[in-house]
Amino acid sequence: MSYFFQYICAHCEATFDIYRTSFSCDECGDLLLAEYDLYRARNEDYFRQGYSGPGIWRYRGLLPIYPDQRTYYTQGEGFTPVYNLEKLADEMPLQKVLLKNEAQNPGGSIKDREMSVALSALTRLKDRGIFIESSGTSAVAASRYSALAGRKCFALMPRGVPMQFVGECQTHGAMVKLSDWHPTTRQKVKEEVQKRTQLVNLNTEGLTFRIEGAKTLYYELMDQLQGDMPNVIIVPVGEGTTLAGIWKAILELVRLGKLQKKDIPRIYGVQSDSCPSLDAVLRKYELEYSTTLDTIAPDLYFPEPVLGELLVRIITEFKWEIVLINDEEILSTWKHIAQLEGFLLSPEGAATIVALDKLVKQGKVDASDRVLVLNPSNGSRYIQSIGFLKEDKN
Amino acid sequence: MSLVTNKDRLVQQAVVGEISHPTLRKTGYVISSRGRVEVYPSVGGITYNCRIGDSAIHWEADHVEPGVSIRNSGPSFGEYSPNAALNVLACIGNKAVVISGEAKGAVGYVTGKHGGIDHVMVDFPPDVLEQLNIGDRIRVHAYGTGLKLRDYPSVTLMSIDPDLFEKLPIQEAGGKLRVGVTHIIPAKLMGAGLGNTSAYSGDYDIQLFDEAAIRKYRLDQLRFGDLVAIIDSDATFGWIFKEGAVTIGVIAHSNSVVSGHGPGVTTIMTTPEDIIEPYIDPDVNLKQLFYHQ
Repeated sequence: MSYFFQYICAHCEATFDIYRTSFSCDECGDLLLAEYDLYRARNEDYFRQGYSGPGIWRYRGLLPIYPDQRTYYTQGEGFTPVYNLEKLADEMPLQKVLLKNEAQNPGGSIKDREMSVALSALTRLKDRGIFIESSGTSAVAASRYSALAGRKCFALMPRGVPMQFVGECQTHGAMVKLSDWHPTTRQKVKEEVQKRTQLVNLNTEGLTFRIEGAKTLYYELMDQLQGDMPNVIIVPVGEGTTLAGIWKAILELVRLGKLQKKDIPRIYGVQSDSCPSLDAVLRKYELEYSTTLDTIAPDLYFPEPVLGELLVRIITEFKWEIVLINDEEILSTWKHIAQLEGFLLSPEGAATIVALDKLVKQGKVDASDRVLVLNPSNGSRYIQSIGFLKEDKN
Repeated sequence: MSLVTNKDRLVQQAVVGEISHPTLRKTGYVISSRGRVEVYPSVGGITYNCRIGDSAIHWEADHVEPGVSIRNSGPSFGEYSPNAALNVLACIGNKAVVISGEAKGAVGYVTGKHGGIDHVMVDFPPDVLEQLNIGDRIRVHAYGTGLKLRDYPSVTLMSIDPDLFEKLPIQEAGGKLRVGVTHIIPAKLMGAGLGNTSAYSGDYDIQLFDEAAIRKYRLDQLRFGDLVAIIDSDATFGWIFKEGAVTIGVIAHSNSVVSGHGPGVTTIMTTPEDIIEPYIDPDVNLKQLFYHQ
């Protein structure tokens, strides 16, 4: 059983019933968010609604499940471990640095959470294929869960994307189109694809449900760390679903009485200075970026975040911040952490530690803080694309 | 985030009470905290010269209730009774309409609840008081029980009309709620009422037997209808001492000479957590909130 009872517009707060098949607002066209009856849930065992497994579906009471829904596409996502990076904490120095390792999801990334929930929620539109625009793990996860759900998947990826990702998508049966990452070019490709078949766009309509999958990360942290939660969390931001998911979880946990407003953590989002799309919206400057992928952290490359307006509102309201980093910093930290802590992070994971280092040097994070950084995906996928080993041999 | 409630999900019901007659012991005696036998007007009835906004302290009285006191004398069914429903469901700020007698149709507002005697107090203008009689029936448009704050689940709201709640001086700051009150009172001064397991009806009393405490906390300036904060006091399931907790209430009846008693506070808002931060605003009185806002 789920407390899912309506959609609410992220912008104008108009509400809609759960049985609609369009996930944008009829009034203003903005994104719809799933809303739950939290007044009722706060007095009940809100997540163990007939399921006691360890994965994200233990939170099914607060996931977008229809009353008549019986099908879920899952391979055991979530409940990824939290590690204590003691050597890094000593080096900084900080009281504690925790690492949430999302690489241990079945498909090797945090995106498995999003796609498991999205493909399950979209069962009601099962006659439509799946469309995803992504420069990395979102495309892989969308392909993987589309295969699991028996649906066609079309992935649009930027030129320059590591071939490992293209190969994984294709292996799962997805059609992959590589394109210049220019808005006009991408729009043309999307229109061509839509002409051939009706697709659900996971970068627009599907965001409603992807955010729900992403929020399980924070629910899980509350369960794993109990009263020992970090007060600083650093996450990579490309499309922004992880950041939006954490915000949504915080909002719900506050309303459930599991988290007090005064205890809401400080969140820092990390973007690459080669494509600081959210930072550009936040600080109101014109974004300049290459139309081919030119960063070693593909998941930080997302020039036009649909969630931009929502994220800016969230960041402004909670006084969160965006930290910009560059490839050189990622590369040196990537290698350093692998040798210091024995973790082969993804470049995006290394980026969170680069950001942490900057925040410590700026005095924004200090020894009194308990920090959690996020490794969103498996680092071994990137060895070939970065040419790191080859460089070492030379 | 603005302060959002579930007021659109609340049931609105009619509850009815009759204007009660004042009650006293046959002797009229009360024994004061100094061991003296004294005689005073007390609970119940129509009290012409005590209204919200007037002093709750400077009366030759014991537990006198401002305005009109009502109760429902219908029969009980086991542990269920219509007077219990009146006392739980009527909320401060609810509209009350006279439905019998010469003043039929006159409108007033609920101002408080008095435990023990189980009265609900209603404020009417002086000309209406002149027309009212003991036994007249008053219908309260009960609305507010079940009111919750969306973003502050550990804060319990009780006995407060949702529309009145929206008029209260409450601001969010740093994840806490700043609430304007006329007085900030330590829990150590609280007396009668402690021991009840519910604060949804009735009140608990501020003891006024220590001159230094009266001066320190300006308790001689308490008025009927004042919004006050009791610090280190939680009323979620009856009134208890708890450090960091805060209870917000309304002064519902007058001073008393009896040990452990004093002006009563009907609870409208409470939390066991360190979330409510009261600040002094001398104007936060029901008179102001009902008739001047």
